[in-house]
Amino acid sequence: MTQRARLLAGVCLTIAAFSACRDILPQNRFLRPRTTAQRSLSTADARHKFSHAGHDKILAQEGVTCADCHRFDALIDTGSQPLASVLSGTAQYPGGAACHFCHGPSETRLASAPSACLTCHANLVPLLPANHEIAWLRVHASVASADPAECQNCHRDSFCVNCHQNRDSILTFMHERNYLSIHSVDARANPIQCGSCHREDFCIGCHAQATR
Amino acid sequence: MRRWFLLPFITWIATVPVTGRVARAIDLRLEPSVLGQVREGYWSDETEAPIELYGDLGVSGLPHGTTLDAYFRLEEDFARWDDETDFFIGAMRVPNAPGGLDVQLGRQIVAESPVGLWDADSGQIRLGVADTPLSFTVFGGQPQYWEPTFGPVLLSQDEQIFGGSVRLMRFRGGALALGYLQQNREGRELMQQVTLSGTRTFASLPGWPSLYGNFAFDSDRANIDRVRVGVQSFVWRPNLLLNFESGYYKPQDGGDVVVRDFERREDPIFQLFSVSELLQFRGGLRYQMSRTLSAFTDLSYQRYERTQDSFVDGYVWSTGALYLPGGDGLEMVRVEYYGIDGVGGSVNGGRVYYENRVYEQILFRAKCDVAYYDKATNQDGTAIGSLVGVGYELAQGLVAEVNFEANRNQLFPEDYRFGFFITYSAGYTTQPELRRDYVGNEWRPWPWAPAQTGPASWGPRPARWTRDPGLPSSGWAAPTFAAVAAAREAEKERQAAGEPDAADGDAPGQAPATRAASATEAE
Repeated sequence: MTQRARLLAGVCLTIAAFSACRDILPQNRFLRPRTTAQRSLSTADARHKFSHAGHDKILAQEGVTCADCHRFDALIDTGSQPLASVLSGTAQYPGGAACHFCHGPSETRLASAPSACLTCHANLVPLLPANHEIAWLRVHASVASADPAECQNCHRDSFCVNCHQNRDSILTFMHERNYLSIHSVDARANPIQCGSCHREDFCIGCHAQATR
Repeated sequence: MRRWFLLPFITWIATVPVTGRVARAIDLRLEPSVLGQVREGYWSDETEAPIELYGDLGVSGLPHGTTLDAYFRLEEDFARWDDETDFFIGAMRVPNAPGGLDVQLGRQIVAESPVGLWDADSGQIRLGVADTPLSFTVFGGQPQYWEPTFGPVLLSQDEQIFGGSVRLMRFRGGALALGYLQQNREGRELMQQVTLSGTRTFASLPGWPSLYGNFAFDSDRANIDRVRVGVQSFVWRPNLLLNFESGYYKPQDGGDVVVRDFERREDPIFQLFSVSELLQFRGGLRYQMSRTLSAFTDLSYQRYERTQDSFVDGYVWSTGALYLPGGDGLEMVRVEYYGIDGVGGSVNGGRVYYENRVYEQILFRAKCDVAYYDKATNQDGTAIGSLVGVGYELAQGLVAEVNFEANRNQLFPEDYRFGFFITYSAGYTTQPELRRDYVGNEWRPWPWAPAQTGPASWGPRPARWTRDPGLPSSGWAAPTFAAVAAAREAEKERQAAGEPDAADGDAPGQAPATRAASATEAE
């Protein structure tokens, strides 16, 4: 077995070990599954952004009373005070629909209510729009050119900058390291794509140097 | 020597005392990273040890919703004392400036036009007209380029762009905008484009298809520069996402004359390969087999005129599967086969990506990309790019990783690199006092992940559409909200008819349901 094959086998074994640990190996301080696992898909972080004081005026204006959002008449009979507390908190929470009723993206949104997702949400993973699910990397330019403000609802400029401006970092962003060998084939198969990021200087600089 | 790099820190820190004097909450964002690598140089046999400090600092919540953002990258090669890829970017945005203006100033991305985008030192002003979809934008500035060229700069960077756009219509899930863009290089006009860009989701049609497209016409040369039309749709059973797109591209029409002067070319790289236009068709599918497993495939076909009357075809395709064990997105396996076939030769390759963030504090990722190439120049071989990285979450938001790369390509059969990064990502808020508010990278510590792992890589949710997320379709709160919605709708219709505001006559605290009923009666 060559050294490279041994290296590859080692990597595969490490991956298998990490994968298997989840169910098989005893849990210790380092292998304890993340307590935040489910939070990655939760929008609960937005709950704490709501301020009753900040909404007093508009709620009164719209005629929305406390009981319209909170179910004070919910009967909680568990026989356990701690459990009742938890259930009470859940029962009183009106859900995201109550917020989205005025804050975009609903059709009932108020013009005066900020509609940017970042107004309340810090965790954007569960908000991933459906049109982002497929080929979005290629499609997003068309959508962004039609209405850039729509992107700014969820994304800070840093999201764009990290790819569009922070090029040629030590880390690979778009092309793997082996792309050097295949870029000439790719460029001739689809010559429209190179100019999206590179100027001709980038090609000629290297090619001129390689022929020295 | 490089004292200016302290500027973003000073700006950021200076905002902290200010926060005590204003009532609103100010949010501070801090995402610095230090990256390093030890490798053997491609063009010299010397050892290179580049270290990068990349910073992303931001302040938001200032008066008028003002945000300040600063990004910088300082790179120093401690083996060669070379620092060619430094950059510093600062931008300010005032979204609620007086007069209803949205103002942006600094180095920013502007003119996301059909022919590309520019990172430019520029200004941009947007004005939205209340209660209409209309929005006017004007911009102007100087594009900036800083990617290393490993040689002399050949194309002049004395460029200016300016233009504007009008958002004409706004749809549910889309908009239509008409724009103008002019690019000058060396004081001479390079292109004058009239553009039309649009996207719209048809929520009433089966599959809720989303159409998008753009059109660019060079008004100076009377030439259509680009047309692109695409559709994304969804089929419930099976859970299938579709995307089809076709396009036409002709960056510069010089008739039978090839533009020889690089400085006069609109898209110099494309014009290296083609004397004329390009036609493109692309299709993609994503099939969600279960909550944790999905498959994807993507194919694009290009046809262009290489030299006069000599047309060539190009194909690029990929297909693979994404497996998310546990369905929580903390563990990911992505397997992909890809290929390229064209006048330059063919490539067949495969890549595997694995990521594990399941365990407290430990992060692990590995990837391997192997490609077999057979070029028209009679060169063939196998190229490999691989990486193994182990990270540790030292504190909330503070992640450190060490990684090892083993690569191989036709010029450098053995390319080994040892690297590391330390990244900290956090946000702070001043309400009620300066405290930690969120951790930006808690959900995904790899800052480069979305682009790196491809278009169909993340999103463990099942695919679904919601017609109107603002209205609860059932539940105890549904009638209340439906009544308020009806009242608002009636109010809009009344205003459109020029009748007085019905709400003026309501008694304070009148229930929305009553108001809705009153409104209906008034109708």
